[in-house]
Amino acid sequence: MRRGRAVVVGVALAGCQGGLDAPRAPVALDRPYFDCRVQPVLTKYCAALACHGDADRFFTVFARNRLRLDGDEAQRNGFLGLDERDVNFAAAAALVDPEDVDASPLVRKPLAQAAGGAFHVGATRFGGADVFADTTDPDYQILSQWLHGATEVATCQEPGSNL
Amino acid sequence: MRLQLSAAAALASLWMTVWATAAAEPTGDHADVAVRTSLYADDDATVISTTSVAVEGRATERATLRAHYVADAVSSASVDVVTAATGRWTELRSEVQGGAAWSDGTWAVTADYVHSREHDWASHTVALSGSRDLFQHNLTLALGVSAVDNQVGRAGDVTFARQQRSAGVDARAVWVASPRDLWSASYTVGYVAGYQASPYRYALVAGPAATAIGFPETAPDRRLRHAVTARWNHAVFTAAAVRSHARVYLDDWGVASMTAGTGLAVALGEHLEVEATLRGYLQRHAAFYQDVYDQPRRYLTADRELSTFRDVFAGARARWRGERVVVDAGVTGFGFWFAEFERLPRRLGVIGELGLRVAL
Repeated sequence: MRRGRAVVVGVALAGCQGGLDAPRAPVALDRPYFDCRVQPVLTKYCAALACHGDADRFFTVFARNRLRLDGDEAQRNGFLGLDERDVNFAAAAALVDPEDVDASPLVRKPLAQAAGGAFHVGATRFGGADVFADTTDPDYQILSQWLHGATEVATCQEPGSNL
Repeated sequence: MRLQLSAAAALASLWMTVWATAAAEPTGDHADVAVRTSLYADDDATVISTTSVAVEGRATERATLRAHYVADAVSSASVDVVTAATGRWTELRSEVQGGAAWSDGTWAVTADYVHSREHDWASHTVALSGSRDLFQHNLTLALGVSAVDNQVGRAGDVTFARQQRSAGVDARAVWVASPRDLWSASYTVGYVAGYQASPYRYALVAGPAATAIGFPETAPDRRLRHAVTARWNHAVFTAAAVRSHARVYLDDWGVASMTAGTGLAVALGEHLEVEATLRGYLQRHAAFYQDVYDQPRRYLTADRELSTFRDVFAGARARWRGERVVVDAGVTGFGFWFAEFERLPRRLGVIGELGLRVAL
């Protein structure tokens, strides 16, 4: 009896916390809105080869005439493939804080610190200015609205795409 | 970037602390002054230069006062940061400590305060300990408590501020079993609360089209840690000692580890002592650690110190003792082998040290 109690105490002291490897709760993000509205913003501001158009970066963005998944130079300016859009969607979703979407790196990183943004190496490399000076920027609003549940019809056409 | 280099910096600091402490017992009539410098270098492109100055003086017959200053200069292009677009970085860490000790030959108490600061981290530590000798000084029982308040920041980010607090208790017994044998055993329990991830690291999750998607690191905000340590110093021949130790560690993140080490110290004449040491370490990974996660999980870490790994340290040291001067020099080589961290499966390095203590 005494030995059993000691084992219980030992396990209680040294045992793991529960749920340490539990799956993350999924974030509801609209895929058509991403393909039609968010992807052009990422292409415009993030996908330069010296920035996030670099496969060695943790946040990687595929875009036309930028980084491509298949590495075929002849296809560099071709339409984005479904795999590339899937990766871009997953990469953007990874930077969403499900508990506080306004604190998500996806919107805080490109926002100037003076306007409440977070440190962003890109801001130090290109003249000291971040992507968005403040939250009123229309492209910032697109990212923010996506995080807050904005949706788009499946037939929405991204300019210059084959969607 | 302390969180990135916690192990490297801790190793360098640990060795400095251990030897500085060992050399800090005042032998002068009034005070001792100790100066130490060390250089850490590994093949993960990290170099740490550490210099410390320590002073300990007698305030009364039974009381001593002590203080030290430590400066670490770190330069690193570790795999932790180059893939985060940060490139090589350098920084300076400063630490100041003040303390007092009192002993009447049977009872002893100490109190210390340490403040450490670097550009993305500030730390305050308070430590108290007491001990009592029993059975004609053949047994010493000691109890120590400590509390740490850390303010965690992110370089260049004025909006990032997190708090991490920890507390620990250490109970220890030291037993002189025979004229040739000294045993000690200790149990340490520690609790850490608050931010314990790194704002610089990203964990990888398997993504579409065989890619890996980077997620900001997340870690539980509490951690309970236990360690049991045993040491045995055994005198051999006429002027030599074998110093061995073993340690078992468990925590509620699922990390389990075992450390074992031994060393042979030999006195060569009246003034010179040389020592060779060997230490090995085995660790099982944290319950939530994966090198590349199969899916997004509640906790995601890219901390290789939470993976399954082993390390080996081997060192040699020489110490020369004069009437009022002690000089010591040492070199330690080490290797880490990370079984579950593809970005850095192995890390090799060396630590060189030089110390001088003068009794005034």
